[in-house]
Amino acid sequence: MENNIVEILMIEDTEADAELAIRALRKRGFANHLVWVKYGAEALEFVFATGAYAGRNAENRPKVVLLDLRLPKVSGIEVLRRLKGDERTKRIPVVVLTSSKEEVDLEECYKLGVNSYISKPVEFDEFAKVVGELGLYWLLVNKLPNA
Amino acid sequence: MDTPKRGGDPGELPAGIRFADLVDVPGLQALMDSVHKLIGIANAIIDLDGVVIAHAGWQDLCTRFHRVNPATRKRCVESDTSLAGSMTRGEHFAAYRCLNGLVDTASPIIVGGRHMANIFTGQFFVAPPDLEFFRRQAGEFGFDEGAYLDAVARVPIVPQERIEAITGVYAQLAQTLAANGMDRLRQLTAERDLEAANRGLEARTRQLEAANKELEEFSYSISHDLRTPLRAIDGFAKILVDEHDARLDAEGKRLLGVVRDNAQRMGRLIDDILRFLRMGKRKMECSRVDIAQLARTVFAEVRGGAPARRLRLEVGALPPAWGDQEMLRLVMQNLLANAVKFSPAEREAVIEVGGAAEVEENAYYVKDNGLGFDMTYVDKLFKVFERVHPTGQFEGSAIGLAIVKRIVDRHGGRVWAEGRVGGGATFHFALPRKGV
Repeated sequence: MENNIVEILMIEDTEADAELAIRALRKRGFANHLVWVKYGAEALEFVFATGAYAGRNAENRPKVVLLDLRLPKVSGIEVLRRLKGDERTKRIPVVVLTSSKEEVDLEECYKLGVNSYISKPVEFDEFAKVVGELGLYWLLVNKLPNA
Repeated sequence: MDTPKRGGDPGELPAGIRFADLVDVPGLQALMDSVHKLIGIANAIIDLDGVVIAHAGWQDLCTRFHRVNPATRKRCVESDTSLAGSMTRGEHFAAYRCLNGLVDTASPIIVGGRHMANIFTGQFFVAPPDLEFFRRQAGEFGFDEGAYLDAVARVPIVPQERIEAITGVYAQLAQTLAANGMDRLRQLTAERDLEAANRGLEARTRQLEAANKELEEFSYSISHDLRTPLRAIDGFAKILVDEHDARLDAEGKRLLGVVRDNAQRMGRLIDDILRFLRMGKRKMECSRVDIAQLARTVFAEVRGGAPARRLRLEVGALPPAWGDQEMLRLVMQNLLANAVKFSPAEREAVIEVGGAAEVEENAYYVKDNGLGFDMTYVDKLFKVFERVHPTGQFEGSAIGLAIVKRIVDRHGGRVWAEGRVGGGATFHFALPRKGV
C-alpha cells in the first residue's frame, strides 16, 4: 500500500524543532514520506505496529529514524535500546539529533549502537544544513541490505 | 559504686573507659612480677569494679587457706572492702591489718582526676607473727596446723621503716602507671577526635560531590532547555525573511536581523558557559606540552579566522609545560584570540609569546600592542561575565579569560595580567614544573 511507505520516522516532542527540521528536509525534497511522532511510546508502537498503529504493516520499516534524546515518559535512550535490541529493527539506522552536548549521552548512545549522533546547532542555517545533509546521506547515499 | 572524682579535668575522660583500656596489661603484669621478685612482697592492681588487672606473689597463706575456707574468706572480703573503702575516701596510702592477722597496704591510681583503680601490696607482717594466734586459728577453722604454720613462716616480715620505702616504690609505680594511662588516654582521645573530624570531612565531601552532581545536571538543563527556544527564535525569524520577504520593508528586515544576531550570540554564550563548566569537571590527562609549538599552531588557526587582519607572532625560547594538552590549547586559543580582538584592525597587531623556567614553576606570557586596559579593573578580567570593554564593541561572551583561569587553576598554577590604556596588555600564566 502506497500510504504505508515511510522513509523518515522523526521522534521529537518540541514542535518548533520538528517544524524547522521538516521544513529543512522538505526544501531538499526528503519530506514526502516522513512520519512525525512526539513520544517515545508512540514511536515504538509505530515501528512494531502495535497499539494505535496495530493495523500498519510492520515490514515497512523506516529508512532512517531521527531521534531526540530528551523525551517525556519513554526516553530517547530507551527507544534506542528497544530498536537496537530487537532482531527485526536493529538494522534501521538511528540518528540521534539532540540539544544535549553532554558526553555521557554520546557514550551511552554509541554503546547502544546509534548510527550517528548530532548536536543541533542553534543557528537555523547551520541546523537546516545539517538536517538536509543527513537526509541526503541516509536516504540516497547509504545502502541497506535488502530485507 | 559511684566513681569519685578528685580535681583534674574529668571532662577529658570519655565515659565508660576502664583502667584496663589505658594500660598495656601484659606489660603491666611483667612489671608486677619483676617488682615482686625484687622486694618479695605480693601485689595486685584491682579496678573499682573489683576486676584484678594484674597480680603477683600472693601468699599461700591466703590462696590456700584464708581464701578457701568460707569463714576466713568472708574476713578477706571484709578486709579488702575496708581497705578499698579507705581509697574512695581520698586517702593516698593506707596500711591495714587484715582480719586474718596480716598487713596490707593500698594506694589509689588516679587518671585525669578520676580514681580508676587501686594498687595493693601485701601480705606481710610488720613484726614476727604471734604463732599462738595462728595455732588458734588453725584449730578454729580446721586447717592442717603443720602446713598452715609453714605458710605463716613463708610470709615475709617487713620492719615498719621498710614499709615506708616500699610504699614509696609502689606510690611511684602507681603515679607512673597513672601518667602512662593519661598519655594513652590523651592519645585515645586524639584518635577519637581525629576519627570524628575524618567522618565530618567525609560527610562534607559527600555533600560537595552531591552539589557538584547537581551543578552538572543544571548544566545539562541549560544545554538543552535554553538552546531549544533559541533555535526556534533564530529559525522562525529566518523563515520570515525567506518566505515573507515581499511583505517586509527594509526596517522590518533590519529588525529581524537584530533578533537573529542576538539569538545567535546567546547561543554562543551558552556554548561558552558549557565549555567553562566542562573545564571544571574534565578528567585531566597530563603530559609534556611544547608551548611554543602550541602557540604557532593556534596562531595559524586564529589568523585563518581573521584573513583581513595583519597579524604577526613572535615566539621566544619557551620551557615546555607539564599539563593537559587540550586544556592548554584552549588557554592559548583564548589568549591569542583576545590579543587579536583587542588590537586595532587598521594597524599590524604584534603578538609576543614568551616565558622562562623559574625555580618551582614555568612562567609564560602573551603580550600584545593593542588597546590595553585600565589596571583599576584588573581583578575583573578573569571573572565570568565581567567585561572591561563595553558589549557590542567587541564580540564575545566575556568567558574566555575565566576559562583560562579555571584551566590554570586546575593545573595548580596562577594567572595575572598587566595593561595600560592604549599601551597593550600582557597576560601571564605559570604552571608547576613537575619535572619539565
